[in-house]
Amino acid sequence: MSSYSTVKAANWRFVELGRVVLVDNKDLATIVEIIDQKRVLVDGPKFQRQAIALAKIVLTPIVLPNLPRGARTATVTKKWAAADIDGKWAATAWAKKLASRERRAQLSDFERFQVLVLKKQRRFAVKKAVAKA
Amino acid sequence: MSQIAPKWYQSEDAPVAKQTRKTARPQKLRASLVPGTVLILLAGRFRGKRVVYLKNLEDNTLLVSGPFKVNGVPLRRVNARYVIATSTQVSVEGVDVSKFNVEYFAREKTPRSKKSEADLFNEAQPKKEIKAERIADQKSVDASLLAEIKKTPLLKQYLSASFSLKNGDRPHLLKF
Repeated sequence: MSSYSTVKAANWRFVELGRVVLVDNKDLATIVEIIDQKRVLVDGPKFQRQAIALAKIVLTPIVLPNLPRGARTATVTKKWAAADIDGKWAATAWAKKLASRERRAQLSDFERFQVLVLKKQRRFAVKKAVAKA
Repeated sequence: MSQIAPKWYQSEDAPVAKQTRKTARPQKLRASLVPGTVLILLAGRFRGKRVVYLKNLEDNTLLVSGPFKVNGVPLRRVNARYVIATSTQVSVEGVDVSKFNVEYFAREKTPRSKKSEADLFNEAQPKKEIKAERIADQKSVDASLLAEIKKTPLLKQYLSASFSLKNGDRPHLLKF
């Protein structure tokens, strides 16, 4: 009745300068200053520089390296472009999931019909292959 | 000296209708209702059908056609309020709808036959005849419509399918 457990080192995403965060499932920004236990100052090239509660943001695994404390918007924008944060973010499965969810919500009635037909065709092909195997 | 006073007065004055302060103005349709739009009918015999909108008539209804071959909806009037306009459009440039107006769709004046006992128990009603003119008009309008519809892949199948709400559909979030 013994179970083997392995102890792994903790690998948390830290609230730190340069941590890229997601606000409201759409906007990206980085932490530019930590105000107190609950609030941080965030700034992003497409997000208004503001103090925001940590409860309202989600930490991503991406970090903007070597961001000086209290960096102003121009510096943030420059380092953001240099590190290609937008590209790195778009490559993550997380961003792709959000994008597909948004696309699904924007489908028109005709597009929804086209999706139905394509899914049916895929289902048919899969079932045919399974029946053959 | 005007008229001589009348010898007899009504005991109560005849009621005079109030003068209405409403004026009828030309109908202003919502921007999504453009001729050629595919509409979803929400009520009536053809509820759920996807249908092509052709023209706005004088009695504030919309002239609509299935096309008949595709989903069984003939040239018909439909109330604009009981309709969802989708973003899908078909070009109706080549379709001539000038002859369709309110009189075209006026109900036939059938001479009221005397009700007989046989009619009360009789199941078989004489079959309603459709005028040859209606059938011919339907064919001509639909011919040009179908030519346009065939240009877009899957549009014909889309029009023959009916709309319904499925599990997980939130009507206030659906984009049409």
